Amino acid sequence: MLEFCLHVLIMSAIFGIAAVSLNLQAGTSGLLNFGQIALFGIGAYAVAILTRAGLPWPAALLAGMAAAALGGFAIGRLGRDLAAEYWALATLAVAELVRLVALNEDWLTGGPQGIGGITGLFPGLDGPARALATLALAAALLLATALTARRLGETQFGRVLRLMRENPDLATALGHDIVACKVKVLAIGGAMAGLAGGLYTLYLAFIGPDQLLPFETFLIWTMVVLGGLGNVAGAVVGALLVTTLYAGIPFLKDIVALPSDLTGSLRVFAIGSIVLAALMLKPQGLVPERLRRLHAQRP
Amino acid sequence: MLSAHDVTRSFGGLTAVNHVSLEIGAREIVGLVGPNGSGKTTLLNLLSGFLAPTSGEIRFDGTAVSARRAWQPSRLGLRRTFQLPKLPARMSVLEVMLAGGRLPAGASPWRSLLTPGAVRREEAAFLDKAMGLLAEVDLAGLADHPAGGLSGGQQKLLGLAAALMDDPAVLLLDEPTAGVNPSLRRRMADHLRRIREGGTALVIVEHDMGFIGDLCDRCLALDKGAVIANCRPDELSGNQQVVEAYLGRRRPGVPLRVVAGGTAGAKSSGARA
Amino acid sequence: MIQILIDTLIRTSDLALIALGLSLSYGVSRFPNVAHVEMAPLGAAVALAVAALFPAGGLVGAAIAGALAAGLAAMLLHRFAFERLAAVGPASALIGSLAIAMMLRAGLQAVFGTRPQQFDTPLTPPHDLWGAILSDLQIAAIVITAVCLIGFFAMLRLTPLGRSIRAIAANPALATASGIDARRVTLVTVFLGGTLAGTGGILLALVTQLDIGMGQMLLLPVFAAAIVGGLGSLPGAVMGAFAIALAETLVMRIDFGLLAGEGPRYLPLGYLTGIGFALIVVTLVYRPEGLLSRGGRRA
Ligand SMILES: Nc1ncnc2c1ncn2[C@@H]1O[C@H](COP(=O)(O)OP(=O)(O)OP(=O)(O)O)[C@@H](O)[C@H]1O
Ligand SMILES: [Mg+2]
Repeated sequence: MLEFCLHVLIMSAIFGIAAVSLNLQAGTSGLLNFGQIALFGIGAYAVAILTRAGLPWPAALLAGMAAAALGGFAIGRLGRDLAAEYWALATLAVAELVRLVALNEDWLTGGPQGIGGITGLFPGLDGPARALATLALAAALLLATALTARRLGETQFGRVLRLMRENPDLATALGHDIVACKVKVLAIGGAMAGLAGGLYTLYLAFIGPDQLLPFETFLIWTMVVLGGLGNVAGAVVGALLVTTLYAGIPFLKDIVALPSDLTGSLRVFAIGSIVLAALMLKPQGLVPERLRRLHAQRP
Repeated sequence: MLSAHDVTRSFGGLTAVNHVSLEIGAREIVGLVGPNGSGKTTLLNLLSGFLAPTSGEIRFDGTAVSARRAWQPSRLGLRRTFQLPKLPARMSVLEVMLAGGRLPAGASPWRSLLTPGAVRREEAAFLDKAMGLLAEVDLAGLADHPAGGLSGGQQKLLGLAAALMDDPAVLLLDEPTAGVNPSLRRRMADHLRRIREGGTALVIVEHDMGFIGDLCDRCLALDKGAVIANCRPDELSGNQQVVEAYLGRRRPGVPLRVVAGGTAGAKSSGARA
Repeated sequence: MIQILIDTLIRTSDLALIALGLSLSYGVSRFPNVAHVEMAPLGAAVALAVAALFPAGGLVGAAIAGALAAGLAAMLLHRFAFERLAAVGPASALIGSLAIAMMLRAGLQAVFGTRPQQFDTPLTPPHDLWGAILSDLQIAAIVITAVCLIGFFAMLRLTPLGRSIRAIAANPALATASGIDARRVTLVTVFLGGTLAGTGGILLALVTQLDIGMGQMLLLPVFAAAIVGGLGSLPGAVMGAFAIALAETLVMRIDFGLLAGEGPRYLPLGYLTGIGFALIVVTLVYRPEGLLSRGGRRA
């Protein structure tokens, strides 16, 4: 049980980072990235390939972040003047292309089997101690990511992103180059997603193309929409809730005797209905974006 | 300061702006009038780089204005407002004001993270400036309210105030007084005059002839995309073409009161809208 | 050569009806509805169930029931979910439609199982058409698709309903002002779109087999077809389907080795599904208004 709780917490922290990243893109900046899992995957595969080549994990993690930031930069350039929904579909397609490359380029990515046998984090420790150390690392990185995102949201950079989300013409009229802003925020979001992906690989000591299915992007979207688009704390809360639920559903079958091939469908169904319910009943999410009252806060 | 050379813009078969040339000097206040659909907003979009001309060229302060870098004129000191501001619902009034300022430290993600001191100092200076400008348009008390929640007239005022955050050399205003009440309108005219004293040239699209006559040094009248008059505001009512553009072909017995009647032009064109 | 043409036609008939339904719904509801493709397996599954339960109705009766069920489902979803979501914004509608697509797929899997199933159709020997191999069912599918397309476009041109649909797709506000009940016509249009997708799914299941997960396989090719043709353009959707089918067929058969002057080298089969994605990306980046259409949708 303790092991399971630790596992859920570690996964929550890892996906929390990915959710904070998506929240910066979609919540703050209004960029509907339906290819988030590709950025995550670039980081994950980069770390797998580099650690297998003998690089120590912190260096591999940094390289993975850089690679994913480059990926974010690329999809930002790609859709520089597309309307939002069209860009969303383009990112979905890009993510599928990334997954196809992972699936087909055996020499680099191990093909359908993926890359396993990665040394991972803290090989000196074992059992709960190792899990605890991993959790501490993941939580610290989540905290750092969340603080970074919050800081970026409250300065002029974030103000311009929010203005771009709601009225790009006005942002342009006030002298802000919104294409440059998009590209910057996607690169930053990419680095964060790459960090999450790299941690994921290191924790599970494995990465494969099945981890890059569009459903995973959707899972991250669920966290952000449930928690509250535009609020960093919301993304973290959403990640914790959704991860717990997702990991907990298989236990249901022990309680209500569901056939095991149904649990997969049930999981998907549950996630879908959460998003739908959140969108219809509480479009602002559990922790809504709040107005920044600069005047009242002045010294 | 700002000039257009033989600028044309068409949408499909419709020519919204037709071979327009103009020249705006420093500290000038120029009115832009014309019936609904005559191409005023389109001309403003062209001048500010929001639309690319089908042919012709626009220059501001020596550099060509390009629609591929619509943000650039604003940084060089050419700013505009919108006919319909559509301000963000989830940003406060003061935040919109700050977004109008030039805060290089805060606008850079790196410096936001690494030099909090510089970011704070810069922000404090612009907060003072923003509160001062808000006071001029009676919005200081609403500084922490959602900008999108303001009334239509208040949104127009906020749009104007935000454009002033960077002390532009030329300011293009699209119907700044639409939806603003008469007493505030008079104060707004004073305010705009003070802005000109501060060194800003103004181009004002307006239907309120009284406001135009009161404020402008010069007037351009547009009809069907073409400039049909370029004269002092009080000369407009004597211009046969302008009168016909507003009232249709002159019928006997219809009094001509374009300027003297204040908003006669606005009313007649409003009825057609 | 003939084989390429035949393969292209077969693939076109897989995609055309579903893509047409997608573009049709997009024209009136103004957001890309990801759940639309799930109407294909839904229609096929209902048809299969009806065929099994009421064998007296025959295959045609079952197919009609399936298509109507898909239309009804599309209409109910629109009435009870998308109307509300679309009022919040196209982004919410897009995310919501993803959620509904997941739920539909999971629900269908729970009800009908994940094993592929087949219609009970007589086995006939394949024909040899100038060297190309073609089965009776494939001929039937191509013919039925063509008949549906002709019937649909005739309806659009010649009936009052068709005129109303075109009016709303062109300008909803104006259509309402001129006395068209926009909401009702929209619902009817969405119903038609669902019926088209259901028919497409049934034909696909007839020719090959019913795979409940076919929505996932169809999503990107169908969107690619609709986007290449210009979302909202109806003839464009059909031409887009043909373009995608042709591209897929050609790329699989072109010997890249020969072009490069080396030994035989084909694109690995694993990338087949990638062609649709790549075309989406290319279209969106270079001609977001659709390769085959006029009138832009840039931000
Ligand atoms: N993006 C566009 N696409 C197509 N036509 C346009 C576009 N923008 C403007 N037009 C057309 O150009 C003409 C001029 O429009 P414009 O908005 O410039 O008029 P205006 O003088 O500002 O009118 P108003 O006083 O009502 O604001 C109109 O006929 C309008 O329909
Ligand atoms: Mg206008």
